[in-house]
Amino acid sequence: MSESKRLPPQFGEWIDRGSPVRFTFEGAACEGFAGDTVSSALHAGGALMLGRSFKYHRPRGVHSLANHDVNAMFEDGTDTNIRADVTAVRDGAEYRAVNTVGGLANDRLRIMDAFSRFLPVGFYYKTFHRPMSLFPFWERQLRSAAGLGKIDGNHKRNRTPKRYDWCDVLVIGAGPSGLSAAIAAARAGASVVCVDENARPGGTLSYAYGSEPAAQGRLDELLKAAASLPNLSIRCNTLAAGYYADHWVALVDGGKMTKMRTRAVVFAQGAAEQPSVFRHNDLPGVMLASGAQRLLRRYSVRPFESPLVVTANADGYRAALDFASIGIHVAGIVDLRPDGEPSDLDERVKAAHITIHHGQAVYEAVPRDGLVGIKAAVVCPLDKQGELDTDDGLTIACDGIAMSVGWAGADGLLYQAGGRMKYSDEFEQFVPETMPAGVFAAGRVNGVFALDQKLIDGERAGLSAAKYLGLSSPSTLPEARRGPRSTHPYPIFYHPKGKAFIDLDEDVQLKDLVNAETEGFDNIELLKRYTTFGMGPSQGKIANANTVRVLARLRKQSVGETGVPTSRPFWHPVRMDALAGRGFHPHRHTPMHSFHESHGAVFMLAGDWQRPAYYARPGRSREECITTEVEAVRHQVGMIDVGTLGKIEISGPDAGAFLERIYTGRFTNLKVGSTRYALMCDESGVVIDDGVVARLGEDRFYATTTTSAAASVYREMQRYAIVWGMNLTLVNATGLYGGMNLAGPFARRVLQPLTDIDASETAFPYMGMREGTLADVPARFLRVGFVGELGYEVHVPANCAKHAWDALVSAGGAFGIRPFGVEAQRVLRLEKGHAIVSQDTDGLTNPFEAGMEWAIKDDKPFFIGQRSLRIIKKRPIARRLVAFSLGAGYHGNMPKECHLVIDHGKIIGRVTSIAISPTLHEPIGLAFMPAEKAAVGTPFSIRIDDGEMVAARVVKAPFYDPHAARQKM
Amino acid sequence: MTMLHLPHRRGPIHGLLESHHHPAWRDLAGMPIALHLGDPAVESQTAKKGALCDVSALPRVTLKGPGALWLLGEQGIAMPDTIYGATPLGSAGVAARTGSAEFFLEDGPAGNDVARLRAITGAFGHARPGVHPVNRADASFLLSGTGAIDVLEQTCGYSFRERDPGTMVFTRIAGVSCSILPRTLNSIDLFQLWLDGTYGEYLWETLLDVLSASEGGAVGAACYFPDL
Amino acid sequence: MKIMTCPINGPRPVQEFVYGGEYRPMPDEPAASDAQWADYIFNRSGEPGLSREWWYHAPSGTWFIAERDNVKDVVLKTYLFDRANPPRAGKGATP
Repeated sequence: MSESKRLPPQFGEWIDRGSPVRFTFEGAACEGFAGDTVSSALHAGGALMLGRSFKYHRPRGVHSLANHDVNAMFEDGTDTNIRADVTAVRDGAEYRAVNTVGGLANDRLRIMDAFSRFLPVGFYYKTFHRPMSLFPFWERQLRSAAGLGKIDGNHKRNRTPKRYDWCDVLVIGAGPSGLSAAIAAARAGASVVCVDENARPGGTLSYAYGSEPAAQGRLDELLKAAASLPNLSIRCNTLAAGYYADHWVALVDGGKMTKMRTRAVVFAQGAAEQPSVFRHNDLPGVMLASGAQRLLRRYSVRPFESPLVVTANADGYRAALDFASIGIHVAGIVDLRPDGEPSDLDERVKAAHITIHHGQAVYEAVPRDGLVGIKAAVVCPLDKQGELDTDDGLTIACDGIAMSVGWAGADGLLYQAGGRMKYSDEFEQFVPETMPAGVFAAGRVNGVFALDQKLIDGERAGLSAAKYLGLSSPSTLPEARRGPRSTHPYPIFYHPKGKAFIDLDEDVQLKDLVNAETEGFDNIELLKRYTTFGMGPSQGKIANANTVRVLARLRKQSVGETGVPTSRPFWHPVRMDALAGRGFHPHRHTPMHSFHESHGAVFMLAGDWQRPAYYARPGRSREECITTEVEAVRHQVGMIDVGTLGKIEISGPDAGAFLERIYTGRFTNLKVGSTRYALMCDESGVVIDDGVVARLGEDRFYATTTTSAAASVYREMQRYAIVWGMNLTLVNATGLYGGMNLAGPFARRVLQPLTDIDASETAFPYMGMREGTLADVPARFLRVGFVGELGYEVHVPANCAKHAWDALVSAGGAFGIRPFGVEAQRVLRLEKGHAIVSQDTDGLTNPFEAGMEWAIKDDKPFFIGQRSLRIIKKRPIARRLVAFSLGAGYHGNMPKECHLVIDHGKIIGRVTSIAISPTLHEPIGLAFMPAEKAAVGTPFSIRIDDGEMVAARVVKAPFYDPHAARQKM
Repeated sequence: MTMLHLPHRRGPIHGLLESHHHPAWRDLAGMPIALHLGDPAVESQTAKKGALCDVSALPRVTLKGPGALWLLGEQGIAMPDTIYGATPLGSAGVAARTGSAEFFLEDGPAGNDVARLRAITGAFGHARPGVHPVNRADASFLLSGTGAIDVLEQTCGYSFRERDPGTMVFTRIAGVSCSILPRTLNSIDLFQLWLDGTYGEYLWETLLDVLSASEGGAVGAACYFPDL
Repeated sequence: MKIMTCPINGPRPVQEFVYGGEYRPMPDEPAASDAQWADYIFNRSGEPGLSREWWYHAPSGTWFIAERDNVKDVVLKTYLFDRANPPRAGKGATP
């Protein structure tokens, strides 16, 4: 390793020299201090190359040190894609660069650089087509070469907490303007949270004014003022990742996310320094001046020994003075501006004996062997048109180039917040034009660059936010001046040999943009997708601005007309575990759940509910278990938990009339103590739900719905009650009662001893309803026939439902009672030919098609769907739901639900339900068929998974007990 | 119709509490309530720091319908005027108006209003025209102590930083619809939650999981109702 | 995420709500022709401007109407349905 580049202690440094840190990088031992990032520690140890670029595997090093580039991406055996520039170095960590084959130094893929001619942007769209058979091979190679870090598939799930938070004013950015805004808003009485993605507050005050110690004093004053305000909290290491509707901001810190709801936002994120584009501008040693200053001021690391500074603003001059102040030999300042720097910085630089080259630009960097670093720069004069005179080049020896040619506002979240920006020709930067209510911008992101003006601008923004919230009403607000102009309009220089990079993440070169535009990708969004500029982990922070300039020049348009690509969350990459967090997946249990668990239930999810699909028995297959349950119901007695069904209580003088408007049938003439099938259609006449309505009393009814429609039916009933203005009360009783369906020839014998009602056939006939007790607890009984056996559905208040269930199980033991699950119930009802709404009906099925016409009583003044049904009835029916069988002798492959009925190569229908009936010993089902092919006896063919055709025949339904004698016993 | 004594009733998380804690149970108007889940001295400290307690067993009823307010007045029970207004009922109970004609009542352990009303309206609510009683089957929990608000801020998008014991809030906690009321019982500040009992096990386990990360835990009802 | 203000419960995250479709009162049914009825059933307005929409606050079971500028996606006001004074049918012009 080279000699250490660590400086003696510097004022305001972020490292703690009392806490050394030891780690390895690419297998070699390294050291640093607490407060270092991985990159700063490595650079301090003399490492120049920190990574290999995405496509060409060129050496890369420190560039922005601000997460505006991702040259240094590491994995540490647990985590991957660690952005080393901004991640605190961890004692004991073993870091390796991602995207290499055989290690960073000897990356075998570095030969890609030599083949770069054959790998322009979009090359994969144009090559590898012939032979076509080899395309999957190339695709695999490309995909494995195209990834970055590796993911460990066995990584344990991290459940990071998420939280909600609230404040009056959220200030994003704790630089001079952000702190100033936060203090002003807090003094006005707002509760203020100020967040900054860096480890410490200060923004530019923490690196850009190293040669002006007075600036450190300003930072201390601001922090002291902030600390004195109890209603202001500063949160560092906190990224504002995205802005969402109504001032909802995702804050990410340490891998966890806070969802902050604020009432006003001040955006003070500053600006991202932009690179100059020239040949070899991507190599280690070429960095943004602010990146070099961050290394120097925050981590006390010498960025280089003899840099050339290329600049077009005051910041570059400050940087040069800063380097000189710690003994770095500045090889010169190359100022793109022919008139140079207007402020007194010009004098100070000359007094430091630094040569200034006016009206010049860097044309190319001269690399060292192996491209790990540079040894010189070729500097050429710029003419008035901004073209370089490449014949008149001057080679200046240097080991680094510090670029300060322009800035682009870190304005992604401003766009997301609905801010409108306009391009300022005066400042060559997009600046805010209009902000929506409650949104304010201050500082560099607002085009204000001078330090004293930033403080004023922040104060203005903070006071404006407080005023917007009604907390203060100052008669005048301070006003700051934008500028000084700090951005060059076109610091981009074409070189015939290429390797002038626009986007470091994606290895997009200047010539790629030119070629793409020639190919017709002439719109900024198209150009982005084709060349992939701005699509890497830095999302274009140091690529977008230059690309827009290039496209504008190629299209002969203004930058404003060319536009910028849409900004979307997240501003920086966010770890998946912060997004996933602690997931909330509500689930519901019936009161009998513990019984199902202890009796081997295999559960299925029905919405939020866990329902037993069947009860597993040792040594038996799933089908055998289901068959056993079906047989128990047919021959002895079975019981199913139907607690998940929707239950709605309706009472009041208009209750019956209401139900007649909601459902297709008549209910005002339903006798107390009776039930009736209830069919619901929507306005267009489509079947949406069915169930049973019981009349409990003169003014009281009880309706059941399917499990999945419970919430929506109740909701719609509430709405209709309001719109129709009817006198009634609705209660959603779904969770209030447990429900069990006792079915089978022995059902009455099991039930009668436990209940005080007379359950005999004469006293309690089919379709009746009774209220009484079961095992000493209140119970409501309905005689229903869904599964086609003598059956009682018992509804019991939830807190005694398990008791009732247990009593029935116990009493049923002597009769061979079995609990049965949803799968068995499906088979049982299928044997009766009963359709299940939304399984055997779809989003267009009307009652005529589904054989439910009998449930429509059209001699009512109104019901939902009435008019539509009358219109539909006048037309011929196109399709019908029919019962079919594959024949008793069929033992081949079984069709599944949704398999299609094919006739002469055309789809004419589909299977909606199918099962092998244990009772009838043949496969039966329901299917939609065209009306003209729905007659009993019609043969048809079903195409199953592998294309095989299975023969079926339309039969009469119900398959079992056609006269429904058994359920009426 | 006489009120049946129901020894067979169980709250929504009864099984969960029994298998994890083997609590000291007590019969409260026919429902078992867990007095202690562990050492009472430890529990009383936990209750002040961050604790979850199951009070599903407290008697409660909702009366809906045009006759409900009249019946309540007849029984001498005053109800708040505003929707979502909440006032104390008896010594440790709650009375809240949850709709324009919808009234929620919960008795504390020594209260009797709910039992009286249930006896009047009957097991299935036939008895009074215009009064539709709701056979509530809530899970209800107390979330208490200085750490309670932290649990809510991890699971609920509504801010409870300004405690208003006079207003019941209807919102979602960890994805489940709940009503929440800030209360103080036995000098401990807490939040009471009511939700559909079928979600009870899910929410209990979820809130306990969040609480345990800050060393809170489950406690019995004796921490809040010393007379139990 | 977006805030929707329930007239009874106040401002809440939009996740607590269920959207209930465009507010469109049923035409006078016997008088409507089959074509007019089909237009009511199947066609919805897609024009930019003021939308009147049904919304439901799920935790409390409250139905209400929201008036929304559907170009800017800003909710202008919300109120309970009043049968005696129902909202105007149809899309309004951009407010």
